[in-house]
Amino acid sequence: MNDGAAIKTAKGCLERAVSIKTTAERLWNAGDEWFAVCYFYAAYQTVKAAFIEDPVFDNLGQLQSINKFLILNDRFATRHHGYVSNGSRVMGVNDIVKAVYPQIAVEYVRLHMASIAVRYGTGLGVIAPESVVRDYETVIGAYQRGELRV
Amino acid sequence: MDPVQALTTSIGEYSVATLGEEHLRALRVVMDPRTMQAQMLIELADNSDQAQRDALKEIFEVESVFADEAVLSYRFVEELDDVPALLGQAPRFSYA
Repeated sequence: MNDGAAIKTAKGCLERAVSIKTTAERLWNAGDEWFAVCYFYAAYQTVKAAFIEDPVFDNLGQLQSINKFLILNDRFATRHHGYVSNGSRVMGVNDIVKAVYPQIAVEYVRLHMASIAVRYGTGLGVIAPESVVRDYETVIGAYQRGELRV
Repeated sequence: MDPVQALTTSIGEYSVATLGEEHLRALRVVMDPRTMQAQMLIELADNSDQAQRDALKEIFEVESVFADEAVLSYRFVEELDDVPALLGQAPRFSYA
C-alpha cells in the first residue's frame, strides 16, 4: 500500500468511508459480490478514523499496556497485516483492531477475509453474503455509538 | 529439523489443539520463510457463521502466541483438497 496516498484526518477517512459504502450498496443491489470488497474498505476507513480520534494513541504507556508491540505511530498504520522483524512485530491495521478494539475484531477480520476471497480467490465461498453486511454494520455501529475509543 | 519447519509445525499443532479436532476436517499451514508469513487454510466441520466466528476467536489466540515469530493469514475453505498447495518446497504442516 502506498502510505503517501493515505488519508490523515478522521474527517477525510469518514468521507471516504461513506463514499465507498455507497458503492457497496450499489454493487449489492446489482448482485455483484465485489460489494464485499467495498464494505471492507468502508470499515477500514472507519477504523482508521477511530485510530486518529482515539486519545489512546497519544499515550505510549497505555498503548503498550494493551499490547507491547503497539507504538504511537500505529494511529496512522496503513498495511493490513503486520510483519515480524528481529523478534518484534510491526503492527498492521488488523493487529491493531484486535488489540485495541477486540469487540469488533472478529467482524473486522471477517470483512478482510471476504475482501481477499473476492479479490484474489474464487469468490466469497463459505462466507455468506448477508454476513458481510452484518459484519460491516457491527463495525460501523460500534463507531457510531462511540465505542471505538479506549 | 529446520527451525522454520519446526515453527510451522508448532503453529499447526497448536492451531489444531486450540480449534479442537472435533471442529476441524482439515488444516494446512504453509510458511513463506522469507517473510515469515504463514498462510493457514481451515476446513471446518461446520461452516456456519457462528462456527467461523468461534474459530476466529481461537485463531486470534494462536496469533498472539506466535506474534513475534510469524504473521498469520487465514482462510476458511469448503474442501481443502481443492486448494492447490502453494510454495512447493516451503515449510508446511498438514492435518486431516
